[in-house]
Amino acid sequence: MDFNFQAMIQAIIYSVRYLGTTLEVSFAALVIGVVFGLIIALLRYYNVVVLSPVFQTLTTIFKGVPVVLIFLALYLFFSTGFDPMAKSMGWSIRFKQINPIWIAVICLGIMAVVNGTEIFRGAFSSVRKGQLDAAQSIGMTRMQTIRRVLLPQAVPVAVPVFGNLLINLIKASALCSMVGVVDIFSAATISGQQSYTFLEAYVGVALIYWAVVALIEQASGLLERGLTVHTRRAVA
Amino acid sequence: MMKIRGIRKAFGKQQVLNGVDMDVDDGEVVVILGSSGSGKTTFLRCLNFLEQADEGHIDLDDSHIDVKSSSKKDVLDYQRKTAMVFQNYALFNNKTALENIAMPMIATGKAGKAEADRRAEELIDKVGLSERKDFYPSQLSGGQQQRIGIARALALDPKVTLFDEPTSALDPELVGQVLGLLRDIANAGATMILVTHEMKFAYEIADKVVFMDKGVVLEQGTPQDIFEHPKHQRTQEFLSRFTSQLEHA
Repeated sequence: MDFNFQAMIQAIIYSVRYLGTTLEVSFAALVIGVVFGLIIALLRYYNVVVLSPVFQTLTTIFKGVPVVLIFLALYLFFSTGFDPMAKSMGWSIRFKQINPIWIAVICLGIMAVVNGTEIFRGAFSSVRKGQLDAAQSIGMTRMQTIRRVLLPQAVPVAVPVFGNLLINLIKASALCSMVGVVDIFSAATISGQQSYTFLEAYVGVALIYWAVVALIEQASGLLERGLTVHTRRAVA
Repeated sequence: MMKIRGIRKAFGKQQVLNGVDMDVDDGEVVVILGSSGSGKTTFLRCLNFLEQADEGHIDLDDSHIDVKSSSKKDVLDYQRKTAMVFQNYALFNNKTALENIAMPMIATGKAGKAEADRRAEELIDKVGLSERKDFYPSQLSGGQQQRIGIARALALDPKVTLFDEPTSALDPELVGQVLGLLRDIANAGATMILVTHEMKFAYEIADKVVFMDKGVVLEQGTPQDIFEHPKHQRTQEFLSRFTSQLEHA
């Protein structure tokens, strides 16, 4: 069989215009994951009553479900359940007016929060507990301890793992097409359909993913080095 | 003057402290002895509110704490009059030696940044580590870390400083430098409650020795009373294990 390089180049040129969408969705999900992941991890670290077990259960539920199912379930919920709910709440907005990109952001956001919680929990456990006693014995409040002791030590540990999460989110964002968002993956499919050169289109979009992922890995490595320069261990 | 009355603490069904009373005069050095499991460390942690005791009263200066009912603010206020030195140093790994000493003063509002830095410089000089002030804890030896830990506690100008086996995690050749520093602090008139297994040192430094067993104070007195004429059999048994250390006293 022939591999049509021309078609591949065309697919890349066509798809790359939608790179913005892919990155937007992924970064938005990452931000959601960092913010809510941090909050939930702190609630669980300090074993806050009610909230800690509630989030623990939610995390367990969502961790055990493929992201594809979250996309499908949420899309079904929105497409059938949103309008009646909006009516009963007296909102004027209807399902058709919702940009499907939000559904994609929520789905990937759930994946990011579940992972982000675990990332922060792991990073917190790398901070030796005696330091929290020390902070408390000094009379520092919990917020002061979090800000001045816990986070400065946990963040450098968490950053490279979040770099990994971002890479996974970018790859998972290919599922966006399921809810009608045009990202680089669905753009490649469209481009392939036009000249019936699917393989070329998919190889082309794979190259885009590779390039983006390689860039993120580089950036995450640089960020990591910048963050740990002050605390790099002389002895392990 | 610190007055401690009826401290009780249980972990689950395990009653660790069975009503501990203690008086500590200003400038007094109290050494707590006892075998492991006697509740010494838990007692210190309760005094610092790292553990919440189940019952008991503590009077220190103008703080009158009922551990069951005192408000969070009163407890925090009391806590800031005490400081603790830990067995495993517990320095903040993300801070330099100097920052470890200065940061607590800033965080608790005892000093502004400039004043805190100035005092930290003074203290780090006092513990003999000026040339290491910009090192991180991971770059310091155990003995150096513990001296920073002590400086950090002193920086808060506490009414009473609690020492939880400050030398037991150190290499034998590093114990001396820390004990020397503790002696200086005691001589300078600090009020100290010290848990240690360094019997010779306890004999020399203590104004009062307290022997704890099974969560109560079994007996207390001057070092001479306790080390030379222990009344209780448990105290005698405990001390007999350390006779070799004491013979050199």
